[in-house]
Amino acid sequence: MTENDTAFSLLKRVSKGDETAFADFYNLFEKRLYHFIKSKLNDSFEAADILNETFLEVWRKAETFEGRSKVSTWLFGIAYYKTVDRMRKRTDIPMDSDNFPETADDSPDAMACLLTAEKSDHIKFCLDTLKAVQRAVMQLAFFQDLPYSEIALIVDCPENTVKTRMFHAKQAMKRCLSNRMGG
Amino acid sequence: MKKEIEELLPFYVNGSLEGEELETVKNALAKDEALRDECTFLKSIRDEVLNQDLGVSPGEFGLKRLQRDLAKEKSTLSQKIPQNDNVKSGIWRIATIAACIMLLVQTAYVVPLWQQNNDLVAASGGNVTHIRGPVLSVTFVPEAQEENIRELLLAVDARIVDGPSALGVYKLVVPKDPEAVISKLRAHKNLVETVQRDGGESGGK
Repeated sequence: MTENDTAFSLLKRVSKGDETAFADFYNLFEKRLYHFIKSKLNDSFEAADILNETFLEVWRKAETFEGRSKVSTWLFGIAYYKTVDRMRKRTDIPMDSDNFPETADDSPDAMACLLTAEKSDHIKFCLDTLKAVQRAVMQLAFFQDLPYSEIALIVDCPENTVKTRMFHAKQAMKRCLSNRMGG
Repeated sequence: MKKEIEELLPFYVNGSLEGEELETVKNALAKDEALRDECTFLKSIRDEVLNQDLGVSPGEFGLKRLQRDLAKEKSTLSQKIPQNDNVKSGIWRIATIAACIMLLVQTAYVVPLWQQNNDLVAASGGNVTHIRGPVLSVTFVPEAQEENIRELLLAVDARIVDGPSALGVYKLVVPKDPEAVISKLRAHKNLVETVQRDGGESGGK
């Protein structure tokens, strides 16, 4: 039985008001979902709030899930929208992404810095500087290991946009690392 | 083409690429050193993303909070439902009382009329006249004039109590000796097309 089968079967029980199944469903996704939300909000309290709201939404809408996508895609989609909604209320976080200034940078210095002992700190720092939408896509691609088609469903955008956002995120990382390493 | 391959690289790195796209990326990587460097770079980022310290998730505490909120939501919902029921039942109660009053009024009006049983009201309207007697069904020829019909009915002392129906049938009540009236009506073939006595007899004042 795949994870999706398990999740689907739990969701069916949740739709009939089975609280034990709901707890199992929570345990199945809670960590991954929390990390996804936290990577976007960077605030553990708010992330916990969104996590809670997302699962409450699952409880209310379980019966509307028809199985046309993976359960995880549906779940992360709910979390994504709730997170974006919360971020819109926080004016300090820019939500635009596609007007990101593109400057090609294939600096060998940026590549070289990865080989240094400090690379982890630099990468961590640069990841934090990514725009929220880029971080979301990167999180889904590299933390959840999702294919671009599924990420497109979660963030509700065309598949090409997902690829472009990843591309821009990578370029931004290179630029950031190059600056940090004085390259 | 290189940009297209570069856009696919992250998904090659996370292992989600398959089919033709996977083959294309593999072939490009085999030929292009710069692409292999890109791949190494992306793998480093992915490793870092995986090792990110995103803190401890809410875990059991989160579940408890969720269960508490769920219980609160359920209780709010169950409080709302009886309220709605009260409102609905209140409306129905008022409607029932109104319906009862209407029924009483109608009954008070109709029952006295019922007590004047078997009465027919003259179709000529005006003052209500209750008449009693055998009922005849009559049709008139299409060419019959109203004036001639009127004279005939007055001659046999018949009253129109119903009709004409869609087929042109009139109901007449005659006070006495219906067979004689039928004979007289049949005799006026230039006016009366058909005439027959109905099964019952109407009664009235």
